[in-house]
Amino acid sequence: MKRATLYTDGGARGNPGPAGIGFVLVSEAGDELAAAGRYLGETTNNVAEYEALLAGLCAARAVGADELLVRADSELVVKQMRGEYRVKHPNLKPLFVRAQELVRGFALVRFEHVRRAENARADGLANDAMDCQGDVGTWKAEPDGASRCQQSLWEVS
Amino acid sequence: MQQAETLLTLAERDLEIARLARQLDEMPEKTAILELRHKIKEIEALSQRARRFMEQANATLRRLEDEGSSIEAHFQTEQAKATSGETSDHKELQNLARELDSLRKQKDRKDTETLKQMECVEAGQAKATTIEASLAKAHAREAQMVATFRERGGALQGRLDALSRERAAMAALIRPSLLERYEQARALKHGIGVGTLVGSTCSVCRIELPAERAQALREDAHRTNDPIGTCPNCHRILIVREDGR
Repeated sequence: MKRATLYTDGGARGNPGPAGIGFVLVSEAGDELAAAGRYLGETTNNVAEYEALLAGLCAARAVGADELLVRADSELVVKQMRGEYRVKHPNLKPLFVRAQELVRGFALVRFEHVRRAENARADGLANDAMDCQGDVGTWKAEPDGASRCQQSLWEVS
Repeated sequence: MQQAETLLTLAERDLEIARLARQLDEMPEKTAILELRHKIKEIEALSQRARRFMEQANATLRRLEDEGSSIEAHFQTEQAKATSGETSDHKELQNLARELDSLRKQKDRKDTETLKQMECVEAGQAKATTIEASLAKAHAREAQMVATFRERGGALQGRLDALSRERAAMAALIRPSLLERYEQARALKHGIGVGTLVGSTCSVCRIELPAERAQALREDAHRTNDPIGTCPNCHRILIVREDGR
């Protein structure tokens, strides 16, 4: 049983505007398994939040996590993933469906809404990605885990 | 080509400047200073209220003391009249005694009121002193926090200043019309005014252009020997490099 916590954040400067995502995957022991940011181009805040979740879920799957606590500062994403809100926006529907597919690959996934301050690292990575208009971050998974994780991340888009 | 490359370098500086400015802006010390300044404003408002209260309380005390003195003077005059032996009429003497009695009661009431007001002034003064002490303490703390912020943010600010100078020098090398176009795009497009055509994708909006649009941009750039175009999707300046970077 491999438990992990996933922090995700997506943001856009302008809505829509240049957007980026960031996520941090932390093991039960507190080790950082993966941390990455990615520039998305121009999109909305909510799309970026979902993209961050998808990237994080892929990374979690790649490192072999089976119980996951997802902590995000997007109330919309958290409540939609918990089934408390309906997904109405057509741009979000395919992302939500994909996220649900990925969630089904884990034994247990819980979603928790956190304040932005508690999600500072993921937020920082998303901002760094927006600043450099590229990919940022480090991967600290098992030696061959990085490439699998990276591949999983990129196949999301 | 030179102008395009300078513009791209300028854009990189702008992103770096924005990043550093954000870092400076989000420093915990700055947030703490802003919070403290908010608190100081509250204490200042309290201190102003305390000052107004003290002014009113002192004015009331002075009025009461004046009224007390006036009653006392009146009492002394009437008493002198009663004891001088000038009045022998029994009824007049009775009236004088009643008047003196009434003045004595008035004086007692005034003294009680004055004492209460004095206590009120003393309590107000103690409160005002506490508020002033809190204010002085908060100002001292603010000065200390600003010093720490300057010390810790100094490196960031220094880098920011250097980059800003570098940026200004670089901007001077760009022809004014292009610079104006860039600044306008930057203002309208959330701080990013220029991208490059990578393959057939704009590096900023990341939208893949139809192959023929991308080809047309390349041909235009080649024909006019001017690599500066416009992204048909996000309308930012789009630099078309020959090597497709």
